[in-house]
Amino acid sequence: MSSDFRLLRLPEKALNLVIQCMEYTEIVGYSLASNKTKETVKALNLQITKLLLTTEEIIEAHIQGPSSIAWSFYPGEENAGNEPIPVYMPACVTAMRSNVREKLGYLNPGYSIQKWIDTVQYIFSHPVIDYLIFMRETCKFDMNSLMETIGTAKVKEFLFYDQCRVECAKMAVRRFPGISRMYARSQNMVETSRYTDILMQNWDGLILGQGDVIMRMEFDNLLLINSKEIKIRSRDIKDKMINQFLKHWIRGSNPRMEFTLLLFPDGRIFDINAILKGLNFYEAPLDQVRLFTKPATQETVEIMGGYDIRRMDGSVGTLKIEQREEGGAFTFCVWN
Amino acid sequence: MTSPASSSEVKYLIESSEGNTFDVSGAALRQSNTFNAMFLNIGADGPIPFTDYNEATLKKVFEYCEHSVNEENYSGPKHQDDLSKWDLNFFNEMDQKMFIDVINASNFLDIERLTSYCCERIARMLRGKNTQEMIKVITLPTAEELEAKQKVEEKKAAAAKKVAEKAAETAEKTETLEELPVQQLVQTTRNKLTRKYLSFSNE
Repeated sequence: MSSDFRLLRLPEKALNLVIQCMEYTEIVGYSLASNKTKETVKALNLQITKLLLTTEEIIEAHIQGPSSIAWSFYPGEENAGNEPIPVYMPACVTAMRSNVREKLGYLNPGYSIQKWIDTVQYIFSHPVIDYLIFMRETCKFDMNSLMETIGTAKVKEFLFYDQCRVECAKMAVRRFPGISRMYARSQNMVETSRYTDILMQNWDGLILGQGDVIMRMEFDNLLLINSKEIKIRSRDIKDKMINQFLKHWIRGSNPRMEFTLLLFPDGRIFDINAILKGLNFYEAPLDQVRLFTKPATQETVEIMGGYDIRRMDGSVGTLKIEQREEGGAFTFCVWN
Repeated sequence: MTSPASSSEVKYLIESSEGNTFDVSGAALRQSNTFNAMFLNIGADGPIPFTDYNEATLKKVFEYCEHSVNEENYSGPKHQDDLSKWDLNFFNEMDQKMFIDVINASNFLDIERLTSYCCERIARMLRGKNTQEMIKVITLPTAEELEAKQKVEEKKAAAAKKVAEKAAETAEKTETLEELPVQQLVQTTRNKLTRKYLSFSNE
């Protein structure tokens, strides 16, 4: 094709077909060309399921959906000096699809990271950033500058990942007050007693540990957590501790809690008698299936059978233990 | 010769923008949803006028339709690498102008297979390109060009507004009672009196 091929003069249906035949990496690049191209893409109502922003040595944006793509924003020479540094203007950008090794790399035509994020959010009608991910021991970037980069987008969840340290997590929690969920999956955050203040942040969702990140958890700290949805991976929570946790709940502790999942990674066998000791409970028949919707993630869990206990205020909670392949699991949900 | 299509042997006459006519088989024409919606059941009396498109373009489009008569029903875009040698030759031998004309005609005739292959081919041109490279390939106006264009349009609009205002002003001045018909004269006088009365009563 010669250089005077006017794509925007194609009939609307044909133009839409052309865009639908593009990869998402190209669609985003195309929509950055002008307001008209941006609006054309938006009108197609293409969807993504997740948008993630990661901070490490550089900043990356990831999308998940029909196509999973990561954009890496590489700085010029200004990405050095005493940390924290301001978020840089990318000198070049690479885009990589998750199932394809080759990267599409190009010089950044003067777009800030904020403009890239805004464009992705606008064209895919996805106004939130699902995860703000901190991977480094300390955040390399100035938090104010990071806030500007995020702009008005609502961030749903912190993910403290990889090497992220407690200090970095505390700083982020302080500086981004509106985020309602937190997920700690860093080896440097297994000692939960070092960040009890974070545990008490009234999160809608709190996830501590995943995979080989196994948390240290003391009973007092477990009682401190006032999140609606809790998931903890730990070896420290013994049957007797669960029993005490439930007794405290009956008396009024953890009043916001609606769902708790405790995972035990080492194939531990539960002693149900120790867990239920001293509790007034009703054992639901095994063929009784109840569906529970988790408050933060809105995921549905199937509760088959289980043991119902009643709190002093009248609300009912059901506990259930399972021996899964990856280890034991204790589930407790409160019915509203 | 034209008649309602019930068999693939039936031929239809197509008329191009030049006024020329040529034959197309019913089977080929039925790949056009536009044709199906307009003529399939009722038939056509005389040549079917597709007079927005020239003969060369229409012949090219129906050449494709004739070729793909026996292909299975269209079920979504095919990857360019999976196209047959004939298909590739078909696309490669078109110059850009013809290619764009074919897309437009195929789009109007709503021939899904051909339209989607053409569009996939354009998308392929953009594969692996960044924004600036895309702008070059598909001749998108740059942000600066758009800004300049917008400025020119704003200037034009401002000038037009000025002219309109001046015209209205002049019209108001030249509006004389004598020029108005009697009924309108009475109404205009009444309106003026009412306005005057209202302005007094407000004071």
